Amino acid sequence: MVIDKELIKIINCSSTHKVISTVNPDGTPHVVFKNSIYVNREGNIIVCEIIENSVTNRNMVNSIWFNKKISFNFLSEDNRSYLIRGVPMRAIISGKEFEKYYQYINDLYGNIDLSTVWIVCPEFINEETLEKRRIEEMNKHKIINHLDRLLIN
Amino acid sequence: MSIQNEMSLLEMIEKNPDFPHYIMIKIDAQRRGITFSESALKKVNPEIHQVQVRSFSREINGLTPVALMMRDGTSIIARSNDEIDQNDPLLIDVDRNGDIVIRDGEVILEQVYYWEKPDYYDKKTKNGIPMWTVVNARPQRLDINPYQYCHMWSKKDMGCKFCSIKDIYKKSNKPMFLDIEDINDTITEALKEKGRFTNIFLTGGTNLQGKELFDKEISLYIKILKMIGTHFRTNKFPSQLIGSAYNKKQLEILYNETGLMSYSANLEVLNEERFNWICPGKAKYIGYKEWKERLFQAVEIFGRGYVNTGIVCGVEMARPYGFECEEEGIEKTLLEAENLMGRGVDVVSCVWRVSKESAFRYQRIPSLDYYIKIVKGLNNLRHKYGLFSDMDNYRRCGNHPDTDFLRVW
Repeated sequence: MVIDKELIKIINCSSTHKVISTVNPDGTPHVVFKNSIYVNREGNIIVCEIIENSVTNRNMVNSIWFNKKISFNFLSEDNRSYLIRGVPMRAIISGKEFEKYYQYINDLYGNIDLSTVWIVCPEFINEETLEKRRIEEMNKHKIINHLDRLLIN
Repeated sequence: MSIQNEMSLLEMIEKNPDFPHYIMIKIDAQRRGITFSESALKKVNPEIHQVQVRSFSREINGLTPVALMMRDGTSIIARSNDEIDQNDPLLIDVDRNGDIVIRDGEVILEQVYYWEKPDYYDKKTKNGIPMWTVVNARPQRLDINPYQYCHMWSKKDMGCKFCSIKDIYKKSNKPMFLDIEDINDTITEALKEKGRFTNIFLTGGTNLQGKELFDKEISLYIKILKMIGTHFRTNKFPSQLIGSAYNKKQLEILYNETGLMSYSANLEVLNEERFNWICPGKAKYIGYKEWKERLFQAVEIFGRGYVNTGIVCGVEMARPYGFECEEEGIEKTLLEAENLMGRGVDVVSCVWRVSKESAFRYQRIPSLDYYIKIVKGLNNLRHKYGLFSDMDNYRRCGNHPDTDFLRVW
């Protein structure tokens, strides 16, 4: 699935709020803000995981091992919201590609470590901006509405 | 070695849905060995990929990749057909998309990547020695083997029966001891590579010499560790030493005088009777019970999670004196592992590769199912006793299927 240019711009923007949701082994969701999420040239989502033993990192390993999906939400500065679901394709832990992100993260955040560069292939993308979703809902499910909202006065 | 009458790898993957297929592929590749198709070898770029390694237990200098990595970051350090006898190796090949894959017969199991070499590999020390021959690299670890031989092989019938250090040494035409200045030059250069290395690892053959047993071995390690320590602003730096089983006084000196953070002394096999048969030198000079005692003492000095012992999993099944059946091997190995782990010594397993040059060269390896059960058992015990072996995990060592599970808990 292709992420369009406008959304790539939002995801790669530092002022965007970025959320990643993974699944714990017992099925409970684990949701965290994570700034270090980007889209690479190939159109895949890159998650730079700083902490080796974070719950997110462990859940990402579980995802790639057992084919469990993960989700992101991106909230732009102008309050547009986008959901992306995908599956981790690769964990880069060494080599020139890893070193490139290691340097990037260090330049951005100062002297901090980098555990893993996750590559996530997007499989589902949907805009979740409230106004857009409200209109979609209204058009598709016309009968769902509170009556008081339809009164003359 | 024969693996006939066993379930296929694919059948085993399907039979064990809770066991990651990556780790199962790794175990089976280590067990059975790997071979490269012509098209897979064409994908090797010596400018990028690691095709050279000199260690006390391995020598490669050609165009064959040293090791592989899978998509999840799991390494496969498996021997190719010129290193071990193989009956039914997994094949490294190229698929229709041009990706490098690992195959079992016609079945494509996973995509793989060749390890990338570090920049220092192409450089030379001030003495003109190629740096790759001094310090070999894993994806995130610098490996130094200061003593490339083992004293046990100088004594009659004292060498470990699965070991091939002696023949590798003789074939390699290499110096017995590394030059300290060469090590320093190489480490200095390697540490310039930002984001590449997370651990410094020392090991080598046993050196029995000294006023007390192993004094010379330990003094060489101390000298090197002190020299490496001058590169860091912290007293301690991420590091591991696999050495002989030192006494308490030696361990205290090692810990107090150097930046070393973790220590391992490999029992190799978790049963006294089998240990005495398979590792006669270790049995004679230290003994099984004393080896364990020294490991427990090491925990007091280095702390829980920073001491482990390695086993060459599978040798306990060797004929004629190994365990009678796989069930017995699993039960007794895990029982003894619990004895060690309960007192803070982690147990990490390597998959036994039947070396062409070892005394055990005609032996048969246990089944894949055997390894899966041992790996699961070790992992459960690690959970139970809250142990971790960060120095031997998937990214620092990459050779232990059981510690690969540390990633998910």
